[in-house]
Amino acid sequence: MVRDAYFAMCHTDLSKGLESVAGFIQKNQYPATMKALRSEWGAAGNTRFLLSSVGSITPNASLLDKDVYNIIVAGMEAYAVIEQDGHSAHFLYRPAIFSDPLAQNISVGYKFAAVPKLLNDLWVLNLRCTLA
Amino acid sequence: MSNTIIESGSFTSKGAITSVALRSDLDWMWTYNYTKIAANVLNTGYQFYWQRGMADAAGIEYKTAAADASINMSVITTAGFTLLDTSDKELPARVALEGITNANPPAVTSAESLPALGSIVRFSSLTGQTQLGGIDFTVTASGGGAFSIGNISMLNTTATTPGYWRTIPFDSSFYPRRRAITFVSSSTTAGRAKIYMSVTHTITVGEKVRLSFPGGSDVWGNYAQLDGRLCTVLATAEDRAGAEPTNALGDNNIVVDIDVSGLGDWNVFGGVVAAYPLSSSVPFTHAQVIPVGEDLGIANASGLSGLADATIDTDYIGMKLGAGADGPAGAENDVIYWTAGKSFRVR
Repeated sequence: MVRDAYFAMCHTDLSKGLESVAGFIQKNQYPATMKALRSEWGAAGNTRFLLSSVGSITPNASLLDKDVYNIIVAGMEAYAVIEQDGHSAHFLYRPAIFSDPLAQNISVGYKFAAVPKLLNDLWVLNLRCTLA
Repeated sequence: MSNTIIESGSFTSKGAITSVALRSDLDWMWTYNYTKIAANVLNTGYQFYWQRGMADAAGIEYKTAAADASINMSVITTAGFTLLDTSDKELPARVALEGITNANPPAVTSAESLPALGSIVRFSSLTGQTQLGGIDFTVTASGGGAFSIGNISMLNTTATTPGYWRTIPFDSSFYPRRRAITFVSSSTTAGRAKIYMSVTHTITVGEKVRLSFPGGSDVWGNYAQLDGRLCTVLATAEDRAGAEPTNALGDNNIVVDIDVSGLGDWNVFGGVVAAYPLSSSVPFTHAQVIPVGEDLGIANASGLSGLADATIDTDYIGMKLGAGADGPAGAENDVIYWTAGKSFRVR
């Protein structure tokens, strides 16, 4: 495991660029890799980077017309998610046999009720960058 | 038949392109111009049809003849139906511009095409006013081969020769939205600051906003002191004065409870009374107004919603209808009835 650190959440496009950051430690070089998160790519300084294919991108937002990537760095308790009792995420799959008399149609859907909330916006930073 | 969803409704046309938000991603749509049908108007589209697979802005028109009210069908390729998904953030290709003036408001010359009045544009690869790159602006005038971005003053900057602009088809998905700061001055009410923003703001009185001025005093001078300040919006659209941005669509500002009278004039960037940091300051991150909360007492006292700070996803899917005698959205004050549906299967 690495030392106590802030989480940074960003797009998977940045995976290659992160490895060029001075002092970057890949996840497989952690002393205890088993404790790293699935989405974790590595750490630099006091920051652990989590990647997602739905990470934030502002298209064509640089002076040179490049996409700008938003790296959201959050401190502890900067935000919270309130999950309401009985309304946590449900993924609903109904096989054809339950959908109509001729068993022709399949349906899938999801529902959830949750309230994400910034608790202190000063504890969240947005590092903006373009690809190298 | 199961899994077929039909939705219907009506609207009174404003004689302009009209967007109809729909619950489900539709496969077909009919529109009926009730007003024109009732008046037996000649040489006008009465009924329009669209089906999935047709090109953007296309459709089938049922139109009266010029001589009598007999109906002829024809295919339209402009001012028809265009499927809309505002969560699709793919941006259109950029358009070359010939120049941006160093004026208030700046005028952008663009011979190739022009953005619609009120739409949002983003600039890139500018040669002179590089400080405008990457910032979104509302188009405050458009026509005659040029358009204006009236929410910023570019007086005393280096005018741009070539460069590019592109339309940003949709405002950001989630309300309340952050906005780039273009000018700060003292309000006519003592002890308050007036903040102008580059895109038409939708902030209401009572909302709390955090100001962000990244880069310190090297970029923002005395106004760097506002970085990180939390303030409450006490008024909007106060009348412009002095060197403030000239916007033909209205004064796009908010008034907040911060006293900036001791910070001096805003328009002293570069010592040449420029109203925005000069291109010599590039690269820098633009200053922003970031909505973060609500002052319930002020919102209630103003008769406004106390939940204005709640995050709302404003994206929708629907149909954009072209206007005019041969468009499904009709002419001004026409009453349009429509019905749209989701097919059981599209082959």
